[in-house]
Amino acid sequence: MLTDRVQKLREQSLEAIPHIWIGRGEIVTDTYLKNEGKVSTPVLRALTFKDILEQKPICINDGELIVGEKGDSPAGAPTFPELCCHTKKDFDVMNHREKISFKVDKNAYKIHKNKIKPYWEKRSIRHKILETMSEEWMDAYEAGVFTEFMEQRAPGHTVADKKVFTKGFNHFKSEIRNSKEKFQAGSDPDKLDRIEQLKAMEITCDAIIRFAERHSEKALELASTEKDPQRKKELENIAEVCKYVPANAPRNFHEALQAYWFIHLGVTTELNTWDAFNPGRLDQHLQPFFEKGIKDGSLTKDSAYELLNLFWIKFNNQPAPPKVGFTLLESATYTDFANINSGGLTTDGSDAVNEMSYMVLDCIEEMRLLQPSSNIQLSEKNPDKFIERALHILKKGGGQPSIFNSDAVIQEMLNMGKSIEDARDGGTSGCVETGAFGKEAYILHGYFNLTKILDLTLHNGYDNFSEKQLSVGTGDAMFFGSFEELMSAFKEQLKYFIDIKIEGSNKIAEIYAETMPAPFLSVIIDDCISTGKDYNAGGARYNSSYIQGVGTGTITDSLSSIKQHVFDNERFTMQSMIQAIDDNFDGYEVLHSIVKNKTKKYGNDDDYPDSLMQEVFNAFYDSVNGRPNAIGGHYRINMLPTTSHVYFGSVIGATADGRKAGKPLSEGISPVQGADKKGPTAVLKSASKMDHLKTGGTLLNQKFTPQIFNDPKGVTAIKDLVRTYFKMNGHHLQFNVVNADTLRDAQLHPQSYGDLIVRVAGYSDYFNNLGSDLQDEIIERTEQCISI
Amino acid sequence: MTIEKNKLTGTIFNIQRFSLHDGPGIRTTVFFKGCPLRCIWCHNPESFDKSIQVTFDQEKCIECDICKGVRDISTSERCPANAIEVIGEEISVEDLYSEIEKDKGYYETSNGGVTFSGGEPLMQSEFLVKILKKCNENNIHTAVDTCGQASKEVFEKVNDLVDLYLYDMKFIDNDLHEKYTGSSNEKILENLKYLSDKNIRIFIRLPLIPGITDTEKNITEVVEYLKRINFEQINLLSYHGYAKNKYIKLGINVELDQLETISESRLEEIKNKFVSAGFKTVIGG
Ligand code: SF4
Repeated sequence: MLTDRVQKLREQSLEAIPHIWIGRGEIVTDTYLKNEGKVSTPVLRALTFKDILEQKPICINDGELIVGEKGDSPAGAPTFPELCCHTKKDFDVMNHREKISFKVDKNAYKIHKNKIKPYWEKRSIRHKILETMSEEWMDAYEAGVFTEFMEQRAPGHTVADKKVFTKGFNHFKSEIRNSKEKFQAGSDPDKLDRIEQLKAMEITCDAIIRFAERHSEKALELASTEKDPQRKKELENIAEVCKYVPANAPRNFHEALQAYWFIHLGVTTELNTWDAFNPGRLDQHLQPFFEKGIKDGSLTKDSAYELLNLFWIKFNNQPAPPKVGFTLLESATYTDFANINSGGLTTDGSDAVNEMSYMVLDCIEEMRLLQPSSNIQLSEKNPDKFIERALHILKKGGGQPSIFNSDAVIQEMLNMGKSIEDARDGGTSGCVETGAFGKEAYILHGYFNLTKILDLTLHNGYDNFSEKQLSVGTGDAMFFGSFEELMSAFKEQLKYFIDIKIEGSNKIAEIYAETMPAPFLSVIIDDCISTGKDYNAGGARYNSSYIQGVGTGTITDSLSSIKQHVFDNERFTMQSMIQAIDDNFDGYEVLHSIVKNKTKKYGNDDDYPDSLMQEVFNAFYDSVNGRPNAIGGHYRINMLPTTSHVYFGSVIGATADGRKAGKPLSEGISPVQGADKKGPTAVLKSASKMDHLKTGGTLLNQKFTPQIFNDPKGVTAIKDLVRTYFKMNGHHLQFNVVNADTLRDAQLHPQSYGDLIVRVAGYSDYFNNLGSDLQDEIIERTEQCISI
Repeated sequence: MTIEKNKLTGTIFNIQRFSLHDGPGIRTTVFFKGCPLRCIWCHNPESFDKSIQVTFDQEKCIECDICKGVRDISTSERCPANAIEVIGEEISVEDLYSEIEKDKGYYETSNGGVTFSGGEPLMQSEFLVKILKKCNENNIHTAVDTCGQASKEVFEKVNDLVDLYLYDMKFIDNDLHEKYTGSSNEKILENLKYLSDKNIRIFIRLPLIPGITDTEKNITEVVEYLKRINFEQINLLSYHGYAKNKYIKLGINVELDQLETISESRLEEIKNKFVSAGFKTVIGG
């Protein structure tokens, strides 16, 4: 049961109006104006961090126990002009649009125009990136061959581990000092850089401690005028907590949550990191504090639960900071991808499910918030009761929690050369990304439009969308004599664009390493302190760079269609197939019917198309995996789209599977919407023919009617589906429990469906928040039901 | 699929994966074509006739004339719009088994398996025996959903190969049985007694059709009858909607105008009757 306090704050969080807090942008500009060129870059970044935390307004909302906001108040979004600088038009767009809007007040417009924009316009990372990229890169980027995550946000993707729950920043400071002394005494050639880096880290430790103290002071100030004796006591307690953490290791449940929350604010204030930071194995980290509190009587189950609820609300108060330009126009969510997990295995490999795991699930069920997102890590060793509890929550709709195969996730990490302990302490975050929590920079570099590569292959490197010759010629596809010839041309095109992508990504990573270190984040990620290297420069123990493949279903079915109808059955020629595609099937009704109705399609457990999926996957894997990145690690792949399958579809003409020009591609590794006809067991079989263990994450959504979950045998059967998919090494499975009719009705009457949440890709969102193209795409996904 | 001459084939009309209501766990249900009964509420009228049928859907037709107006098995494959639908296929033991085997992993996790249903699988007993053997050899749990209208010899042939019978009952009163299913129930009840004596695992399945099988009289008679039978559980099946369109498409006389769904409360009442008789009673399959 949610307490009155929680209900009130939850309501407030839901009602808070997203707005721009311009203060961060202003402070950053001031700090740079004052210090740039006078101190080293890491120290400049540390001073920026310090100035923000020293000057930003302190907000303690009425009734709350966990305190601190990223902006000036709930739903206040800072700007990060050093990464990308908004234009006036960007502000106008976000201020006035109907969906995903951010209010921008007059003052913000003014400060931005007079101070921030003049300074950053030509200095932002985005500006540098776009200036540095090669012409080939720019052409491919603009044509929608790939996206680039870091053109607007910093390389963040990482997650906290146990140390932030067991150590304080005073301790980290002493570690930093030790490391500094070690380098001072030694003869490392990069000694001076390392020492500067460590100096910067130390500044950020003091800054976060001071930030917490400011909350402590504010709480005392509020307490002094508080009439309600109970609230007065609470405020005094907040003051006590904020004085102690995160300077010191938390002593109790409350301090543990508050300590993490300050760190969360620190990481997401320092830079606008992608796929926001989260507390990692929260149930594992909290369990000892919970047990101790219950034992010494300082905590009850109810008080622990209330604190956890309040912690949840803090995440929901932070909308993802709005982007710029075209990406802003495309952005369809406030979600910032903090994805809290429970379950999995302990460091020694045994079942990790504990009392807190279930409390986290209770919290997900009752809070029903978009943020944080949530998931369970399910190992064969976890009890059925655990997954059944999760399915019971999913049954109510809302698309949370998603389910990950922790045995596969661990295997994926071992395949990448991580230690077994680091692998077991890790998990997934963001949408579906695998990582060694607290020890890895697993950076996403952008989505890759696999279907577009086929389109370019069919047009000898010419792009109909941008009307440019985008790549090398691989021969006129009209005259290909065999399917193999087509595939080898495809692989050549693929390699050409992967090379461009990787070259660009390396340059971008270097720009970040040189100009945008993240000393605060570096403090809490092993082994940045001991190596004296920044997180953005390869200081983490593991450094992985990811490229995400998109459109698995669409490209597979398109290839299958060409193979089957052109080469195997010779029903029509390559000429007519390409002509039909170019004409968007206008005047090709029979051909269109054939490719739509007669093609053997992915998702039906049919080896004919499924082996083509494998071939594409392997080609993608071979062209990316293991290539060195700019920060001492390697490139890897994962298979997820977020919402890029809609954008990627909009830049491709019709495809050989019968899809019309501009329509969304298939989502994640799911079959094309409606192409799977043999039910969920067949879909999962098809999907499992992809070698998930070679990736750092795959995404599979399944839409089920609520009826199946209400069937007495339904939940057990779904549990068995998940367990079987995971035995076949499937990485992730997510359910949308909703009827298409409900969604159609919601399109017509949005006002009656204000709280309808659906699973989009690796995240959930309010149905009303989605653009109509994405709404349609979700409606068209196959609805799995059971026969009666 | 080309079928070699003299190779044994069966005629089926559907393979349904992820079946949850034809026995325990996740199952694949294979629907055999051909049935000795004609229950008027049947929602699989395509199961009646053993021969392969072809239907034509005018709405789907794009008038491409590829079929040249000949709408039969020979043209269905080439019809771009799937307007010519073939109901039923002849399938070899190997091909059928390879479809069944696809979900073996799910059977193992869920204690599921394969269910042969129909139609009446025992009508194609030679083929059934072969496919059952194949499943047995590969440790796949087998269930046979039967209406019981078969000779004792047929049962004798398959008994050892079947892990579970789903045995359909409709009426005890023979006149009613004849009226609504077109056949006498004499053999059906006799076979049930015979299986019961052999201690074979049986789930009884009783379709509840309002005003037809759910009458007080019929329920009381079924309860009384079952007291003399060894079975593990009884499943009470309610029907949703009536496949009227299928009848029309197949050109079969529509005898019921519509099919009412039994009310929740009546279902509960009936369930209680079975429970009080000491039977394990399950609503749904
Ligand atoms: S082939 Fe099919 S679509 Fe074409 S005319 Fe015949 S039935 Fe109609």
